[in-house]
Parts: sequence; structure tokens; C-alpha cells
Amino acid sequence: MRSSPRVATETEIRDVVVAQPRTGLPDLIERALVASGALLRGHFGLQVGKHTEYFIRFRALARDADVLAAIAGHLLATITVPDDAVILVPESAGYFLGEAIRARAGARTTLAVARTDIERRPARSLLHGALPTGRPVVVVNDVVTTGASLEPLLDLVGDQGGTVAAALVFGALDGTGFRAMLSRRRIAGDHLIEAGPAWAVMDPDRCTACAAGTLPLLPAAELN
Amino acid sequence: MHPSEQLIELLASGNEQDLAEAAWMLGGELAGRRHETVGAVRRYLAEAGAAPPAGGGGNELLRGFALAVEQLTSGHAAAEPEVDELAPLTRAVQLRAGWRKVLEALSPGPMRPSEIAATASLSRGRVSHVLAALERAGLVERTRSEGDGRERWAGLSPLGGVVLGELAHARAPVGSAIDLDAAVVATTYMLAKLLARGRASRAALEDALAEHLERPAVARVVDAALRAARNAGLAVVSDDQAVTLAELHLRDVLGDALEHALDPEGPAVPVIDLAREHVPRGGIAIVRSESHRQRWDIAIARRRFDDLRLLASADWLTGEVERIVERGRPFVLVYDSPPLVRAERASESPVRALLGRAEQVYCYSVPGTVLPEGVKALEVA
Repeated sequence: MRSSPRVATETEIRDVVVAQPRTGLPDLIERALVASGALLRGHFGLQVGKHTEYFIRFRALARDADVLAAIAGHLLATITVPDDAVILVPESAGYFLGEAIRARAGARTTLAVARTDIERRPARSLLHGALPTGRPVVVVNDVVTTGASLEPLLDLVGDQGGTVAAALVFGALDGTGFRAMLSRRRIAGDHLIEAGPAWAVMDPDRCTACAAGTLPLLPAAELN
Repeated sequence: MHPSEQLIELLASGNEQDLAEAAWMLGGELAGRRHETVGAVRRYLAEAGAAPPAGGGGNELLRGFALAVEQLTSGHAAAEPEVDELAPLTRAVQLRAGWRKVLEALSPGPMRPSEIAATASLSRGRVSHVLAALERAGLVERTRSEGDGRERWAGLSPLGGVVLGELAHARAPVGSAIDLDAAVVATTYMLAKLLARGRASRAALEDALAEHLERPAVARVVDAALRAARNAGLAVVSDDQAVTLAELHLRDVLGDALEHALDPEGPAVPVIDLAREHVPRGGIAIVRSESHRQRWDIAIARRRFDDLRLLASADWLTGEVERIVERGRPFVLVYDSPPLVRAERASESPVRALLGRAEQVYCYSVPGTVLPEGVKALEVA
């Protein structure tokens, strides 16, 4: 019988997820994670090559329209989105966050969707919508590690002669890495949650689950 | 035109020129992911100790293609944007004998089409065709001659000169320079050829490759080639599942149809409506799909259908299947492609039990799709 990941308990959620100290946010996230079962515990391979003990299925969170709207609201409060911005999302669960942000941003805001490749990494080509020259672009995704997976999207904007106004993600497992990526590329941006100290993100050769050999490694991207 | 639509058209024509072009597009898909995939492919091929395609007396087209790709992928190491922009052009010229001959003929200076035809040993018709293409590609400039207004002179554009230079440079180091990324893309090209003949399977690809590669490397190269083909939106190929052009076409049609579903203000999506027509009373239709999964999900979620669900393999891992297939509620299963039905009927997957419980099993199809027995067609335009 194949071992499966399981839904994390309420205690685990409190232990591993760190929400930014914003009014009502930690409480909202905890409740939403408990209600949706979006936080899984198991043995997951991230696209950056690291292994992790927990994984957030953003799609499960996004099924609750109120939660989604609240997350979009919190993110939008931290930056100024130009009225005519294009919201660029990958063809993944990040779409749902991008669409919620588009619905709350300026009336002239439009949505563009980037292709994902067979491994569900964002690719450097557009699936839907357009990035007209001169229009500011806000890149949105659900959960990233350091933010490196956003780079094909940022490059895509550059390819089309556009400017990235901001990058918004729901969760950055490595918040420090994500902020460093933003400052290196000189773009504004924000994220709402990070992985706490109890949430192990490990290099494969130091992965405890690999060493124990009891849990199969699941490609995390397959789950969203 | 959708890129994979163009690919299918090229593959279907079956002539060498079109196949080479298809291979070129596929190779571009692979190489375009240079940040991740090409590096990863390079690493694991190196680990596998794979040997390059055999030299001398082998398939010339294959070797030429491998060489072109080698040029392309090695260009990435330099990471010069100029190289990146030139590579596709240089590659295009390498793949088209006519283009190369005309550019070489023009290297001494501008001349009349009749002179080009004589120098390059090409027919007048072909020269005129090639010149038009080269002009579109920005490699050749044409001017009306001063004395005789009827015939237009053609000369290399500055870009054409640079590409010609690149070409000479690219041709110099042959032999050992063919590396394994090239083997992967060459294999993708073989896949393209097999597809054009009607049916391609993993086994056929491995057979075709056996004469060019050492045994242990074959599986890894085939994996990478299939991945490149899938990345190009071409095929769902796994193990011994054969893929037909009709199936590729179906996948493309569904992908395009669902693309419209990404537009929040977009119109209705006919393929979604087609599935909903068959919902049993008080029940649901469950779309079973692994390709375009996110698009189905987005389409269904956006339009808030109560009677339509998406079911992907991951849903068993996460336990979502309980939420999707409600106990006691009748359902029909709608497959997005015949290979998935075949695979699930054959295997001991949990879906097999579901197949037995469904009131009816449907599968999307286009003309030419061969459906397994007992499966009803949902014809899409």
C-alpha cells in the first residue's frame, strides 16, 4: 500500500505557518487552512530541487471565495497597482489569486496567463491575453520558495518590452530569499506567509524523509 | 496559428523539409527552456554516460540536425543576447539547403536572380521563392536596378552577412562536438518522423535510436525527447501507448477551446457544455484529464458549475477524490483523450473501479479518433 500525504492538524498549522503580523491575517490564514485541508504533511519535491515536509495546495484554499478575496485584499493593501496594469499569472493555481487581484484592482486591469511546461514550471511564453508595450505588469503566483520560479515570468515581461510594476505571492517558503530576489531585480512586491522554523525545507542529501525511506517523494507541482 | 497546430500540419505533410522544420520547432522548445531543462538534460545525460549519435555513414539529416542543435545549445553558454537572437536564424539557414546556397552565392556582392540561379545551381522559381523568404527573415535586401527596372537585384543585408559568418564558424568543428543535448533533440526529430508516418510509440522510438546510441542511454534520451515533444504541446506518450495524429489534434483542439475559458469575461466554452449535456438526473459529470488540467479546473471554477468536476491523479493522493465523487450520486466519466481510457482500463489504478461505477463513459473525439469499445464519443469541432 502506498503511503499518502495527510492533511496537517490545527496544531501543526500553528507551528509551521508564519503569517505576517497584520490585523486579522494570522487568524484568517489558520482558520482557512484548517477548514480547507490545504496544508499537507508528507514528503514533497519542490521545483527548485529541495524537499519539504509540508505543502500548501493553494487551489484548496482558493475554493473559498471569501478567503480568496481577503488574501487578495491583504496583498493589494501593500502596493499601489497602476490602474491599467496587466496581471500576469502562470497557468497553475496562481491563476485564482491573480484573477481575485484583477477583480479588485482598477477597472482597466486585464489578465494574462503564461504557459506552464510539462513539469508545471512557468514557461517564457503566453497562453492567454497580452502584454501590450508600455502597460505595467503585476506578476502574481500562489506559493514560491525563493521566488526563482517567477523569473521566467519576469523575463517574459522583459521579452515583450514591458515593465514589472510588482510581484505578489501568497506564500514564500523562504521569505528572505524572496525579498532578496525582489530587491536584486528592483521590483516592489509582497507575500503573506512564510515557512516557520518547524517547516523543514531540505536539500535532498539532507532530507530526513529520504533517509527514513518510508515515504515516497511526490512532485509538489502535481498537487496544485 | 497555434504553434502545435503548425507542428501537426508540418508533420502531416511528411516531406523532409517540413519534418526538418517541425524538428526545428521542437528543438527550439527544448532549448528555449535553457535555464532549467537543457541544463538538467545535459546533467543526466552525462550521468548516463550516453554516447553521441554515431558518426560516418549514418542518417545525414539526423546528424545535420543534431549539429544544428549543438550549435544552438552551445550558444547558450556564452549567454550573449546577440548569439541568442542569431541562433534560430543560423539554425534555420542550416536546415534549409536552398537558403544556404542563395546566401553563399550572394557573399561576393549583390546580383540578379538569374545569376544567383546559375551560381547556386537552383531553378529560377526556387530562387525567387527562397529570396522572398530570406527577405522576410531580414537576411536579404532587394533593390530595383537602375538601368533595367524589371529585374531586382538582391544582396545580403548586414544581418545576412553576420549569419553567413556564423554559419561558416558553426560548420568548422564537426565530429566530436556533437553533444547529448543534440541527441535528445535529434530524437525528438525522430519522434516527429514517426508521428508523421501515422503512429509513434516509445518502443518504435527506442528501436530507431538503438543504432545511434548505447543501450543505457536510450531510455533517458527517449524520456527527454518525449518531454520536449510534450512541452511543445505535441503528445501524451507514456510507455507503450501509441499516439496518433488524431489524438494530437484532439489535444490541441481541447487546449484551444479551454484557452478561452481563461478569459474572465470570455464567452461560453462549447467543450464544457458538451460534457454537461450528458449529466445524469441529480448527478454530475466528471472530467478525467491530466493534460490541460489547470485549464479545466479554471474553466469549471470560473463558471461555478455544480454538476461538473475535474478529476486528476493527484486527487487520490490528497484525498480530494472523496469530495469530487460524492457517495450515492450518479455520475458519468468524460475522458479528455483515448490513451487515458486505455491506460486506466488496463491498469490496477483506483480509476478502474470508478470506470465500472460510471453510468456511461464518454471521451472527446475529432474525426479519426479511435475510441475503445463501450466508450461514447463527444465530437468536438
